[in-house]
Amino acid sequence: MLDYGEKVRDHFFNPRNAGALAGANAVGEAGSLQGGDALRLMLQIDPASERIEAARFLALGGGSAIASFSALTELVIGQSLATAQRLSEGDIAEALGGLPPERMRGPALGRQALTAAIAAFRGEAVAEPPAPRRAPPPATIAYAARLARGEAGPPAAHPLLAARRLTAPAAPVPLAPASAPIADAGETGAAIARIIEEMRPVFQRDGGDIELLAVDAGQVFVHLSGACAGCMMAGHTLSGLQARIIATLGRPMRIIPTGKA
Amino acid sequence: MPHPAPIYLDHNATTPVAPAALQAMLPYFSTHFANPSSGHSLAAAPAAALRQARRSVQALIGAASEQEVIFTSGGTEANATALRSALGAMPGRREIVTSAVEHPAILASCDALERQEGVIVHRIGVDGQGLLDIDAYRAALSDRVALVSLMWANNETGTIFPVEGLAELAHRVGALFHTDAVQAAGKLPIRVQDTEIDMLSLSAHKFHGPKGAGALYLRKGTGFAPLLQGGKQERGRRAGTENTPGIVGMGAAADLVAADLAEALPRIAALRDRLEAGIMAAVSHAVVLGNRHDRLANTSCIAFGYVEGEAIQLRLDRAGICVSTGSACASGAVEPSHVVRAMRVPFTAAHGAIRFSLSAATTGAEIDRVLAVLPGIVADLRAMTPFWADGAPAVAAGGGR
Repeated sequence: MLDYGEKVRDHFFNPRNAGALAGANAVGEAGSLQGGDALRLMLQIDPASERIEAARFLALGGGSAIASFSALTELVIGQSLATAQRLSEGDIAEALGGLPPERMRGPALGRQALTAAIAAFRGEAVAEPPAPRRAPPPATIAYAARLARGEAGPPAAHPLLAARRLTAPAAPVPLAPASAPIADAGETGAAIARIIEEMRPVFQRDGGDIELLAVDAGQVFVHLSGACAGCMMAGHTLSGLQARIIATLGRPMRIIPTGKA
Repeated sequence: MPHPAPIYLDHNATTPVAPAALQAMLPYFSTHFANPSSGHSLAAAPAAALRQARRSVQALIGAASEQEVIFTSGGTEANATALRSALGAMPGRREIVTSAVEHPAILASCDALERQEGVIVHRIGVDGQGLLDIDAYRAALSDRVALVSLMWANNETGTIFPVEGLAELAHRVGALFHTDAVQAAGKLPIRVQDTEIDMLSLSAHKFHGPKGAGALYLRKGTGFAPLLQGGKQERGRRAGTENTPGIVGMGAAADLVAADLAEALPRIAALRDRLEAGIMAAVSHAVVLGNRHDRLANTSCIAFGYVEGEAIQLRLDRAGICVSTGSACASGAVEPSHVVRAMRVPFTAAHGAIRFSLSAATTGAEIDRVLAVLPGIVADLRAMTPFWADGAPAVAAGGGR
């Protein structure tokens, strides 16, 4: 179980540069609460020299993940963006004295967040990272059992995917006819509206808001506004909302954040 | 500074061998090494020791006859034997009913039977407290079912299935009933002769016996097909020279735990409840997994929201406290265990499950030590997360208390 080397243990127990970075001008995120590991990498980059002057991180994760993020900050501080750009997952693992293959997710997330932070600094659109590895419905026994009983639906939306959907430029989302705001009328629509009303304070507390647009064929269309659009918290709050709707209705529903018609 | 002894709260994983059980075993490595099946006089002592151990295990589970106890190499072999035997003994029936939260020893065997032999396996789900979906169970029962295999108590949450009633339902459709009682033996009073259970699996190392020894209870008159063929040991039901020292250790441990059970259970439950209440009072966004009433006295599984289980485990370990996480390393990623997933634990906490499993040797001072360090560890780790830094999440979103 504790197959970690000394360097991993040292970085895990004494993480370097953990915490918020007040003067950050480049922030990149990767992972999710749902996936069990998430990273926010904050960089302070001198615009003139493009040198990384400070780096800090906030993260959720196990031993190898926290250690990887800690090592990553040490690797990039003092480097030029060009050098940091070339940093590989292997370099991060190397700084920890190596990691077993099944523990390489930490370095991968670190690399992903670094890419996102640099892109954010340069004002570039973030390239779509490869599809999350843990997103597909797990071919697990529990899942198979639910499938057999007709209870299985698609897995709850990946928070980061949900977050990206929020910021994606006006994707053509099929909207329910405006004349029938709640197409799937009756109890279902009423139940969903009630749940959203109940959870609205959660969104409002984050400085945003949520509004139910339509319910149609297993899909719940919502509009997110204010600070909710695009933040990591919105992603996992939406998943929480979806979980509640599924638990209440007893059948799968997808939540689709969209622009107003 | 002398290092204090580790606080071991992982007794559902394994237990230390009771000193008296170890002492009982030692002569059977040396003086009484002979093969119990041999015809000479040296075989008399090991053969008598086997009989004695069989009676001890019979007493632990309340079996009607010592002949109903078949010694195996452990719980996994006992489980595999039960599954294979039932299919062999019930020609014409090709279905198995089990649950989504069984030990991998059952689930992986069922997977293999399904894949390789076309057996139809019904895996019954559980609710948020880990209790079996009885309606789905009834619906899965038919005259095509050879065997129902449902665990007595869950290894991760301690949740107890009502196996006596479930066995009666199985018998109404003529199916055999097996229960994996590996976590229940020595932690619950068991009197199998008063039930309709046909087969029951045991493992010595879960109740202070040695690893590598276990047993399958087989009710007299139940059809049987052996897993291992060969010699005539165990009345032809399990071939292979007996693990005499291990079996002797199992018998001795069974005697000890049975004698101690009535006195120990309330004491263990009180310590567990103190631990649980202390944690729930000091840590927000935590959920106790499993059913609070139908639960083993020694087990508490708590899912902590907004924190990752391995991180808690590593920090506790450094503080000298040994626990398990509710996660399993599956195909390169650390995932919540199949039990946590089957119970639909809120995803905010599904990666933060920690299992505390106590024993009769656990002390109040040890519990106090856990309560002194755990809240700080969780708070530290949460303070490091982006979720916490953005402002502690609302309870409504986290499914907390």
